[in-house]
Amino acid sequence: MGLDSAAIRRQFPFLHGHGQPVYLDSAASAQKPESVLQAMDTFARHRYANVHRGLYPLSEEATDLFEQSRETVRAFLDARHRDEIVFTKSTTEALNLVARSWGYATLKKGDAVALTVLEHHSAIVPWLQLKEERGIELVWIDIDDQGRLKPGDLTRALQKGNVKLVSVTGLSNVLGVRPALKEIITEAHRAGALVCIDAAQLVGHHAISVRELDCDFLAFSGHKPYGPTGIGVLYAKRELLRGMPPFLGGGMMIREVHRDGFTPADAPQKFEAGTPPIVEAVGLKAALEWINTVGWSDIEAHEAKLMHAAHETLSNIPGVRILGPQKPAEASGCVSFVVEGVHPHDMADLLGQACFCLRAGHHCAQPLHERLGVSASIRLSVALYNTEEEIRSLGPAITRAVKVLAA
Amino acid sequence: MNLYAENILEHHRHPRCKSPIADRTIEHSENNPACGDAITLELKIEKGEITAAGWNGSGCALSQAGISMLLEKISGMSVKDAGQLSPKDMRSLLGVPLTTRRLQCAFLPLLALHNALRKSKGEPPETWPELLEQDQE
Repeated sequence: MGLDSAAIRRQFPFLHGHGQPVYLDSAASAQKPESVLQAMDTFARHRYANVHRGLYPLSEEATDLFEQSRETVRAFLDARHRDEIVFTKSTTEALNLVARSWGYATLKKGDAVALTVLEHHSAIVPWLQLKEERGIELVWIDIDDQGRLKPGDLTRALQKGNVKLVSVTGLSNVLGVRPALKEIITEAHRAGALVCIDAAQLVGHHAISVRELDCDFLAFSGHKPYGPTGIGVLYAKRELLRGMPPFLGGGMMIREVHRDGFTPADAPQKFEAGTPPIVEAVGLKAALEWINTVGWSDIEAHEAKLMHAAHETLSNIPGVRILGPQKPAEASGCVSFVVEGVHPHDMADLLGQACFCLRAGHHCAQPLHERLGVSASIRLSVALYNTEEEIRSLGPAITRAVKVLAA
Repeated sequence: MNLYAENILEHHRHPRCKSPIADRTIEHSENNPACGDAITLELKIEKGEITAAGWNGSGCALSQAGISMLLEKISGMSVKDAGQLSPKDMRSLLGVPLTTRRLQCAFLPLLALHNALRKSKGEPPETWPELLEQDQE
């Protein structure tokens, strides 16, 4: 039985207001279902207290709920242990934690980190900072015109013997391609390198099993898989977290503090200084439970249809060029394109005026855009609540915008 | 009124002064990293007057039409008057309503002009916050 699209849409209050635009920017941030909004609202109104601090029942209840959220994330990622789940502010903070904590403790001048040109700036800049401050080397893994990683590049990089970590996206936020994570991880481990996965996009579109992948680090944000902003997750193997120094100092991350020093708490608290995003953790729990209720096979089947409709719509418009994979089956989540003679910024503005929400720019992936030979692109991204009709209705709007702008 | 009014589109399709200047006295580039608009401005300054102005660049219709309109305006203007052109002047030059998301596209030409003139006087460049602050005055 396929997905009941009407039933899904009924659960998103955003879709029901009068004159609501067609939202095709879920790769930037997804809308939230009623169950997520309600869980956060009820908790904030009636059950709110700080966690891991109060001895009164209300605080204990909040702590239980917060830790249940960690358990939901653990199960969702198929991690072995609950203490392998660190709550952060976002994917960006999680990736910075890896670079600032593991990177600073481990990497020396001459060591290398391998990155793919598909990466988002948040998986690039923390390592560039280490390059500047520590003299580490960055090795880039290139793509072909379809956005596939060049098979020889990783092998060549690893053969140099100084690569200590490979940072790779689980799903490109521009091209929608999915690098072959399992193979990359196996090859990297054989060469003694760890692997860090940016799963910001992957998490809302496909099931993840960190146990099966055997990845060392994996990061995602709450607001892409239909949850709130302000919360992210870092998964890291237990033995890695044990050896990593704290990232931020403050409350909660210590065992004891004296005038002349401190002893950090165990993971994950060691990496969770300060009052954590409690209401957001409640929302994230509800969001992941909501995804589980829908089920991955229906999600993937529905989104494959959306991607097919997107490719078909775009390839029928003269002057539109799809970047990366030309076959919809080879991408998920999003498709980016350029229009001859029309700057992406102007296109997105005119589409916005016509009530379509699409993002234009370099989508925080400037090295990728340089590689593709364009300064910017327009991105159509899909989520579970979108319909094929919505996507097909974009076609005439693009054609009208081209007419306005083309010389 | 629409952002893509006929005057904007006309300048976008037929940009003015889009050519290099022979014996220019100053050249300056500014870009808008968020959307990739880029402008290189060339000026010939003689006795405190802008006697020739040219530009090159690529980007959205608003930024490219804006520099085209601005250079048309400053040709023959004194360096002093050109340096005093404000975001308000830029708004009236463009003549279309600007929303927050397009302010950087609209004011990039002005930033390029201000900083070309500052460079010619050996002054430090104006920053975006400084320019946008003038818009609120």
